[in-house]
Amino acid sequence: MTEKDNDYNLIERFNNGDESAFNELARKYQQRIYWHARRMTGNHLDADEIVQEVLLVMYRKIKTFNFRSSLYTWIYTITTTRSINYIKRRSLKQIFSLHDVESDQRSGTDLVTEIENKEEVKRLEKFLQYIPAKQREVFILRAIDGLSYKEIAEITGRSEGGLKSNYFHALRKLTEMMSNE
Amino acid sequence: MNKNEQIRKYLDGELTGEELKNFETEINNSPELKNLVDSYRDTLNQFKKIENVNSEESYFINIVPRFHESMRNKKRLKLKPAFAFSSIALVLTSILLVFILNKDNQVINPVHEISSEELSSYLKSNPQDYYEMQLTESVPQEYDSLFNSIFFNELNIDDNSGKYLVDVTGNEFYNILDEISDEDAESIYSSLISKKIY
Repeated sequence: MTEKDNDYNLIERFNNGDESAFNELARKYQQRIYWHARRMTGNHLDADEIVQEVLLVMYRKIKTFNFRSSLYTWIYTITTTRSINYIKRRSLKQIFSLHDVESDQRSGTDLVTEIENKEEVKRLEKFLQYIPAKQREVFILRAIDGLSYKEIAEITGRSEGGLKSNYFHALRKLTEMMSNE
Repeated sequence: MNKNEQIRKYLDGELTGEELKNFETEINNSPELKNLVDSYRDTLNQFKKIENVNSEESYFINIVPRFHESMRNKKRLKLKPAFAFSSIALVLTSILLVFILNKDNQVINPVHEISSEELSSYLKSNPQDYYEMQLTESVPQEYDSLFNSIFFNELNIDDNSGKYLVDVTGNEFYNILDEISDEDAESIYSSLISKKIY
């Protein structure tokens, strides 16, 4: 059974009133949702809130999902939109000087268990926060999650040409920052 | 095709055939280009490593139960406004009912609906109320003495007779009326109609 068929069966079961099917779907995608949100926002607490919001949207809207795209593309779209909303909110807080203290407190929670990875993740997440959100979004989806430009275009609603350009700008900026570290 | 696009295509594996061969030759001949491409590749490799990091399982185990818990809380919160609204509606309805019931109790029949027997009976049983209302409440106090003096003057009676008249017209009027015989009443009536007041 392909991933798409499996998702289809779970959605069918959920639509017929089987709540456990939703739990299976949530467990299947929760890590992808969390890590995408975490890389986009750069901190655990925002990512945690986004996970809960995305699950809520899935729970309420999955009945309308029509399988024109894959389920994970749809979930990535929701996660990306929510993440960008959080980033915008944070930018506003920065403007009004509410963010500095809070961000330090918020980024404290760390789920990464291996100490070596923990430092590496923290370091790379920090670099990601220095590039514009649109470039960050493409870079994460392409370089870390390994999605194709076609899939990223579906998620973001942008042209593949524009995405390729954003991706390379992000790669160049990150490389420059890392070489000057 | 510009150099950046060429590098991106190369790193994304989009260069094929002759294009790929030419670009690889160019990289080998240019240490600067080679360093640049290597640095991009190194960046990508570092980020690729964080795709799957070991993370705390307990956090992910609790995501779905926490989600259902928050859903339950949201449902509870949804009930609260409904409860508040129905409480307010209940209180308002109660106030309205009390008001309507009290209003029904306080309805005063219009004067024209009271029969002359009822009016007469009421005035007989409450003469004091009637006269006090007529003489003291409806007439402002400052005009009371002025009115009395004009009235006594017109009737050409002195103060003592006036006081008596007021007393008679007050509390004792009906008692005196009851004590007068039919002959006396006829006599008083005859003398009154024959007396020229003006």
